[in-house]
Amino acid sequence: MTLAKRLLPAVSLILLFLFFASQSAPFRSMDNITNIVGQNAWLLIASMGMTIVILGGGIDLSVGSVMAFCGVVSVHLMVNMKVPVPLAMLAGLAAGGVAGAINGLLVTKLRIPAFITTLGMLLIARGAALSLAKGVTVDGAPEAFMQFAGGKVMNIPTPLVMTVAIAGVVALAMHFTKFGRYVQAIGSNAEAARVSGVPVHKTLLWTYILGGVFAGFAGLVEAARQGSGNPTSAEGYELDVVTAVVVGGASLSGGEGRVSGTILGVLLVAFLRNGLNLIGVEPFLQKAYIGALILAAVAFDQWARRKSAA
Amino acid sequence: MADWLTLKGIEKSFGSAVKALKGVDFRIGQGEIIALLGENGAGKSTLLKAITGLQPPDTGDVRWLDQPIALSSPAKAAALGIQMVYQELNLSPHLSVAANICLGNEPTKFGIIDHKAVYQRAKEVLDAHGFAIDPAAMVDSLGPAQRQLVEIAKALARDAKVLLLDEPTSSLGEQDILSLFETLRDLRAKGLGIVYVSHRLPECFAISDRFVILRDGELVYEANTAETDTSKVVKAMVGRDLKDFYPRAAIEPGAVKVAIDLPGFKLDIHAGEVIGIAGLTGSGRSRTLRTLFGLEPSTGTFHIDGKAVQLGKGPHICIDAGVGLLTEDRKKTGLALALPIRHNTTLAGLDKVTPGPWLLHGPDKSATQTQVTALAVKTPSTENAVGNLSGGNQQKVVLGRWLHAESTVLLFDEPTRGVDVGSKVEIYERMNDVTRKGSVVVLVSSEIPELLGMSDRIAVLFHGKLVTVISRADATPERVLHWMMTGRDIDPTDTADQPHQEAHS
Repeated sequence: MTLAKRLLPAVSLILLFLFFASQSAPFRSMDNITNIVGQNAWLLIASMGMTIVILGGGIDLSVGSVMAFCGVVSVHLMVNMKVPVPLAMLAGLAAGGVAGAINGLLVTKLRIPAFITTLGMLLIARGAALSLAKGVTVDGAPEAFMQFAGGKVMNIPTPLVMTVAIAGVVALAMHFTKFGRYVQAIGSNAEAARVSGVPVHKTLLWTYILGGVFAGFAGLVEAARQGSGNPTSAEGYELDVVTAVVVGGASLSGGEGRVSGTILGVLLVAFLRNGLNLIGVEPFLQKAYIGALILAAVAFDQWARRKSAA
Repeated sequence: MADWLTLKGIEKSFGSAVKALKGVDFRIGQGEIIALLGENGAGKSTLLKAITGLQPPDTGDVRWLDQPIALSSPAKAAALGIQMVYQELNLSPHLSVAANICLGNEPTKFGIIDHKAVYQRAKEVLDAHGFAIDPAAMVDSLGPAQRQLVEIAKALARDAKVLLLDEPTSSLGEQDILSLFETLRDLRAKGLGIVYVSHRLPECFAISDRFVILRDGELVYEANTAETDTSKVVKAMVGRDLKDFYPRAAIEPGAVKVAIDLPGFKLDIHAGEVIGIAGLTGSGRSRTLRTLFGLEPSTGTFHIDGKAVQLGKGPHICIDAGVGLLTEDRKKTGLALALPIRHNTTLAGLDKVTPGPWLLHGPDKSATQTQVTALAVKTPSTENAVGNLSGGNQQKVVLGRWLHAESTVLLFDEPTRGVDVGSKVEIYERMNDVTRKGSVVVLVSSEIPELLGMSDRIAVLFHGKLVTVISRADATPERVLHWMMTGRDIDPTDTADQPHQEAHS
């Protein structure tokens, strides 16, 4: 990755932040910043999984549905089955892991393209969530669960603590494990990795499992924030996640991308959405801005690639 | 009868240094089949490209039916009736035979493709030459032989006068080759001039009227097929003596280190040996290496230092046993070009950097630096992307990967392809180093001089089987090439008689 490419998201973020801060007083308030973090914790967590999947040359379009499914599983277990909160949450994460494992097995063993596999899982997980919740929101989550997204640790909002911790662990893990090196090697040239003895299938399977688990975690955070398991929630969220990762400098053809970039990408998307709201851009147009952001990021990526190739 | 095409003094250079054709005279007459031969890099493809207008010659006199012309573009050559049938078939598999035959040349009615006329035109061409192929059939439902015929029909539909065939039999079985020859003789009888490019000598003798041999960009030999023989042809192709370019050290072989027993390939290799594997394209050279690396299923056995290595279960088992493979295509299957030298160097041996699931970057860097220094990879830093290195330095990185993984059985598939001369010699020196330490090198190369220069023994593959192992002392270029092309030893007494009959029996 060229230096320019690594700096671009950071520079864009600072400029964007300064622009909104100058335009809108509420934007720069501490409350708003806390608000942004709480509202976008799911985005960062799910983007961590997506970074790993994309780094390995794959894609996971089932993130939004898996989020909803895991939220419903957890809340259903606590509310209707009276399962203790920690156990129900673990079950939610496991549900994400299973969805990811199915994705991974289909991609590696049956060689179905990741795009198609996870598109199928998008529908399957959504259907499973709707069916389990019988089409309606499972309400009445216990207070202990809601604390998970709304509480404070040493006077710092839990979502902030959680996202920082998760991003830190993922960044370190990708840098200081052989798994991280293998994922990057596979995403860059799968055949060369295979011929170097890298366990390609096993590694890719784990990228999808992690993608599912992080989506599950994100789903739990959203469910806790809303105090319910809503089977129709998080629809289309996978697009925000892919946007954040790509804007953060990852390449959809694999082998390129880093956790730090994704964090910047998440912040860009989050600040852009919040800022546009506060300066009074109508919600319909906001989507267009996010769309323009992803196109700009990819156009820049292609341009930088051509330049470095020349 | 005037010749279709007459070339005189054709020259073609690439850049200022590389002269690919040095004043070649070449003519294609009416109703004849010419076998065009030469080693890799001899100038065959440049000559073909000059004839088809893809790369017009720099200088030279070109005449078509005795009239001076310029072959300035492919369209111009095609309009005259010069058609090329490529080695890699150029058909669209999901279109019908008729659509392929008329591709780019479709009859239209009111600006719309006239599908009926497409079918008719294809049917006429196929029938006229007795090709038993249904014009409505989808190309992907056809076998390789029929596809080859469709390719030829495509050329004929454009009113070909001169047909250029590049290794037309490489994907055909024996029966199909015979029927292709029937077709070619038919076309010859109709007055076409056919250039038949192939490495398969027996076939060239069977089908051609005339031999033309290029070497180093020059036409070095020309003779009527009836008046030449295999040894003359091979001698003309090889031509030169081996220079001191290949610094193979004299290393006393040790005990048997590697015992290979694959179907059709049984060989023991001693510690410190370099074994060259010779064979034509498609003779199974690369497949043998891939099998020994666990990439292909196999019923054979493979022992290193007396221990059995399980084959067909993936490369990691072979890597753990000490095998390393330098693949034929380093860009496609050897390196992750976008990643740093470091990531590429230690990839096969991360356990030697740090045990367990962790990866420490300090030891990783110093392990890479060790290889970069030892192999003299020209780079300011181990963190540079490997794709920015020259071909020779890239190849050194792949070599460094296996040295880092402490491989003792090194399988080299075309290790010096696309590598500059300086790096070539360095790679040869490293082959000396590793064999001095008791490792084994198996070298696959299409360059005969390289094989002869660097191998202690040469194993020749013919049609997928090991047909002979020639020691360095007994190996001559002519002999190796003869084994490669005919599957038997050179024998000056009978080469003039029907060599082609035996090779295909």
